[in-house]
Amino acid sequence: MPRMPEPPGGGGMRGGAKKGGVLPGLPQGKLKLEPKAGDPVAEALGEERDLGAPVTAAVAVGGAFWFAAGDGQLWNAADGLAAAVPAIVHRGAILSAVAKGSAVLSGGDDGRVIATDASGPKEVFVGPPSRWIDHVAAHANGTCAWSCGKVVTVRQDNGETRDLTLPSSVGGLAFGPKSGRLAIAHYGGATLWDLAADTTQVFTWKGSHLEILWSPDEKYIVTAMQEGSVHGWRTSDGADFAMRGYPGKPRSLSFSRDGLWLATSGAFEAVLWPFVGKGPMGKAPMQLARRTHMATAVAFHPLNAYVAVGYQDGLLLLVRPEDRRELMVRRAGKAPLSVITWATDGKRLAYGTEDGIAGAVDFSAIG
Amino acid sequence: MTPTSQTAQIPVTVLTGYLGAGKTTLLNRILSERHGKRYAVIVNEFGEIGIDNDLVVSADEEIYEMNNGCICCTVRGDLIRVLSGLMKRKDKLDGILVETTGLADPAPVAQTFFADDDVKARTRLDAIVTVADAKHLALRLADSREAEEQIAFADVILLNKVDLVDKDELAAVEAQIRAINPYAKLHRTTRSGIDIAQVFDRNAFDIKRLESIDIDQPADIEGAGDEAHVCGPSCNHDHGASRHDRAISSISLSSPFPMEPEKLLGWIQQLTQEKGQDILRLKGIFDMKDDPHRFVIQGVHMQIEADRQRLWRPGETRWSRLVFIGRNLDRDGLKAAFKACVAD
Repeated sequence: MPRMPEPPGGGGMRGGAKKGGVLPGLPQGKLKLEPKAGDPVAEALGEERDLGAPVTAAVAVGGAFWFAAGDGQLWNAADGLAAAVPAIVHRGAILSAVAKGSAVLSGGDDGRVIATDASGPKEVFVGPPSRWIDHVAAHANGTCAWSCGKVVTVRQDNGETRDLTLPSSVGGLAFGPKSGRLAIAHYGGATLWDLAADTTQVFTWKGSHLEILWSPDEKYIVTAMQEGSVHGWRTSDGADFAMRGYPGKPRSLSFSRDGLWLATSGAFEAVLWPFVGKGPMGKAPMQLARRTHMATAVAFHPLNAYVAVGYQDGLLLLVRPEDRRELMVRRAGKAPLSVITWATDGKRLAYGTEDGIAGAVDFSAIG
Repeated sequence: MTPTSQTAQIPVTVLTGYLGAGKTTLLNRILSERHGKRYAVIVNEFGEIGIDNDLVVSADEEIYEMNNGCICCTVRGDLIRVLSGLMKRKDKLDGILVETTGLADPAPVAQTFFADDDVKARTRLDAIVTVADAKHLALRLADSREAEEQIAFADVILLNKVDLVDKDELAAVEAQIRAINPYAKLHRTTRSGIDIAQVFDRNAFDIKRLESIDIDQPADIEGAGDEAHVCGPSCNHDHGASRHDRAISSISLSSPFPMEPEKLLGWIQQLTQEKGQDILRLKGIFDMKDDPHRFVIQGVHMQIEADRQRLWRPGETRWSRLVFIGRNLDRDGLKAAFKACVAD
């Protein structure tokens, strides 16, 4: 096996953090997290609905959640899930959906990019026949992007578009929250596209890179890899690090608001890597909320130091890393929990499963 | 067991064959015939298919090396992406057909089904089906590594355009096929005409369902008509002399005596680790010492699956058989090693 320049001191996952861990810089969670016992909060504070097709995304637009599904329908749950009415937005599955201003931007296996708001869907782009729109992304400045196989298209708010062809199909897209640079994951590494200067910078690492995420301060980009590892680069100098040892694919990545912790799925627990100081090099990750099923989705609370963790059996927990306290949000069901999204104010949480259950929980009563 | 494994895995059929052999004709027939089934089709050569269909997905062939230390572990990134995407659809599929290009290596396609957890959980590789042109196969085998590999990996071979060759030419080309791949189900066709039941649901990679490895029986050749001779590795005539060096061949080993499990498995493990790149496929059914169950094994390069299977039936002849298809196979060495695994 080729030796990888992983963090010195063998920062693999075996062993892990022994103690409760410290969360420098993060405000203490206000939520009253109770021990494991007791009913899941979703039963008292939430609602669920069977959408009839796998939930592929939950999008927070303003205070409302929208749910995207594998039958091409988009459900506007602004007045709750029970009252939600679906709009048929794509002919096949919705593969990716994000918030774009007051709209939901979605890409589907019908090769279309659609922007949907309260007034209905509008076509943004139609790709070549039999091709899919695999990923979409949007920035607060109105710029959006999508990928169709190897080709990434960026569309500015004025309607002007530009294409970039990557060496392989694109695994993920993410705009830098501040600079608006577009990070693109692909086979063999990641490409940063500076749209203002129209220059690209390639960060290489052998293997297939899937999801991609910026740290909130844009110091790092991280990718989830096909090979059961997470890879990171420091954007200033390209220094990179491999976070390895996952038994599964760490498909879901989420940074804490302060950027000091990166939560990842793909193990039988939530794995949190410390990005304090010079990054995770040589540091052991914190392992939280171990279960017999693999963690399939993670999402840090947008304001406080909790992370929502979904599992392959459909279980959904809220975990406070500081003292490892857990709160059951949803009981295990029949299918993997694939989607977790927080409302921007952190008061509500949306989730979805591979067997089509969409859920929303309102924490404002106990938060 | 994971919750997903409870849902049925969708069978995936891989369709290979050199350009012009008749792959697209077969594909168009599957898409247009009324058979009451829903098949999604993943194509790497879009444009040849005449049918505009929601279920046709176009994807460029993308071969990825798995960065996991396994030197021959290459997978098809395009398949991982598209298969995972298809699983998000609401409509249930009866099967998925993957059409590879004429130059495609079947190994990364097959390895994708061993290597990716999501693909493994939701789909299963059903069979590799190769369409070959009876008139031109001999030439292709002489000059193309890919054509040879497509025959070697096949579970089902459609020897197409048999109306364009005479009896002797047909016998010669079948002998060439059998020298490379002794166990694939061989069908003679014209214009890719075949009952699609012969193409789908073959369970060729399912060790639980591996019943026999037929290599010499006449029944192995469908539509044989008046053919009396069926070629196999055991026949002693010339199997086509014009093939290039390092050509693919096969070897079939068998024993009427029980095998020593530890010795046998240790040997196969070592062999596939050392020579995995040269071993394209292997299949085996074994009578293990002191075990009333059949033991079965199948593999592609270094990816091996092995398990105990059903009980030997009362009155069933207990035997062991192991077939290798590969390059540079050391016949004498393999024979001796196999023999050494027979229990005392």
